Amino acid sequence: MAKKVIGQIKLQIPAGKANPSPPVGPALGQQGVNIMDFCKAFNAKTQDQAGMVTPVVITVYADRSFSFITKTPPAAVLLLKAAKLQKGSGVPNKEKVGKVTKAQVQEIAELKMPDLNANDVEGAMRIIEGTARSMGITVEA
Amino acid sequence: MAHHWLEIRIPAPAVVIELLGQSLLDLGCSGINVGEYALDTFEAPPELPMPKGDTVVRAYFPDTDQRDQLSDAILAVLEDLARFFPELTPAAPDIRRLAEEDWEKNWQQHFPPFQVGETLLIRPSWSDQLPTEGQALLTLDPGQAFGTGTHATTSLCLDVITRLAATEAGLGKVLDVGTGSGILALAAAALNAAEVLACDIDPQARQIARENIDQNGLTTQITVTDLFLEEILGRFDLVLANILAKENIRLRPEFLQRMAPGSHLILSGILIEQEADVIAAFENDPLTLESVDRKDDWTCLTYRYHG
Repeated sequence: MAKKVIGQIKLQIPAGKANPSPPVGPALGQQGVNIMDFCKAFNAKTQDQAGMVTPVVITVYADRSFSFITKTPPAAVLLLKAAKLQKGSGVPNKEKVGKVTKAQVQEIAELKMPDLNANDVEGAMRIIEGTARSMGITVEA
Repeated sequence: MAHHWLEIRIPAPAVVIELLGQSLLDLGCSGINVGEYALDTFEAPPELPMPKGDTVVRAYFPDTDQRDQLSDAILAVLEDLARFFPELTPAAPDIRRLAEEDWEKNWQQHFPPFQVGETLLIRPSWSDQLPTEGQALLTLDPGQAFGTGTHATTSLCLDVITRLAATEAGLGKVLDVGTGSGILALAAAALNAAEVLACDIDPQARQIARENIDQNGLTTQITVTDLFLEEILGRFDLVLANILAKENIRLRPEFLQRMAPGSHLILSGILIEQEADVIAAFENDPLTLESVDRKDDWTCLTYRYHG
C-alpha cells in the first residue's frame, strides 16, 4: 500500500496498562487513530514489563492507520530498581548510594540491547556500567 | 460531575525525560506526552531525534483537590533529578485542567460509512447503516494496516474496481499486490470476483487482512499469501497495485508476466507529478491506457493488456 506518513507521536506510558485516558486518548484521538486497537496491541506487546514506564513512538499514516514501536524501559530506571533505590546520589562519583551486581548489569544490558548502540552484550554492559557510575551506583564484581 | 484530568507541563532536557516519566508514574501519573510532530513523507525515521534544549512534556494526572501537594511533589522530583542532571532547571509545574472527553469513541467520527459508486457500501463495525438493494456490504475497521478507504490512493482504486465489476466480463481472477488491510481484495470479492489472491511483504498487514477477510465471510474467495510477486504463478484478469510510483515501475515486468489476454492493470499510489514517469515506463508494453483518474494529489492509471 502507498503509505504516506503524516505524523509521529512520542509517549511514555506504563507497560501493559494503555487505556483511552490521557495521554493516549487526546494524542491519538486528535489524529483519528483507532485508540482501542492501539491499546490492545501495546498492552499485548508490553505485558511482561507491567508497571514499568515504556517509551512508545506511534507513526500515523495519511489514512489514519498507524504503526508503533516500543522501547525498553530506561537504563536508569532499571538500575534504580535493581539497586532497590528510590533516588540516585546527589553527588555522583563521590557519594555511592547503592550497589548492583555484575549479573544484574548483564541482565539490564541484555534487555536494553535493541535500543543501545552496542555490538555485543559486553559493549552494552559497559554503557550500563557508565550510567550506574553517573548515578552513584557501584557495580560489584 | 464529569471526571477531569490535570495536564502538567514541564520543560525538561532530553536526557532527563525517561527518568522523569518513571518518577511521575510513581506519583500516580497516567503517562506523559513527549511530543507530537507533523510529517509529510513516505519514509519516516523509526524515531525523530529529540530537539536540543528543553522539550515541554505534558504529564497527566487524575484531577485532585490536593493540587498544591501534587505540585510540591513534582517539584521535589525535579529537584532530585536536577542533582543528577544539572541541565534540568526545576521550577513549579504549570498545571492546567483538562475536561474528560469520550476519547474511546470520539476518533470514530473520522470513519463514517462510505459508498463506492452505487454498488458497494463500506462501513466500520460500530455503524449500523444498511446497504441499499443490490449494494454489497463490507465491514472494515481502521487499524495497523494501510487501507482504511479514506485516502485518495485507495478510493481511486475502489472506484475503478466498481466500474470494472459493472462490465459484462466482471472482475474474474484478481491479484492484489501490497494488500495492506485487504480493502481492495475485499471490494473485488464483494463485487463477485471469481477468486482473489492478495499478497503483502508485511506479516502484520497479512494478519490484519486475514482478520478482515474472516470478518466479512470472504475466506473462500480470497487467499492471502506471503509469496513475493516474483514467485506467484498464473495469469489474472485484474492486477491491482496500490503501492508507490517507484515500486510500480520496478515491478513492471512482473505485472506483465501475470496478466491474461484482455486483462486490466490498475496502478495507484502515484503522485500527479510522477504520472508522466509511470506512463513513460509502461508506454512500450502491450497495454492501452484506458483511464486516468485523479483525486487530491494522486493519480490512478488503468491499463488494458493485449499481449
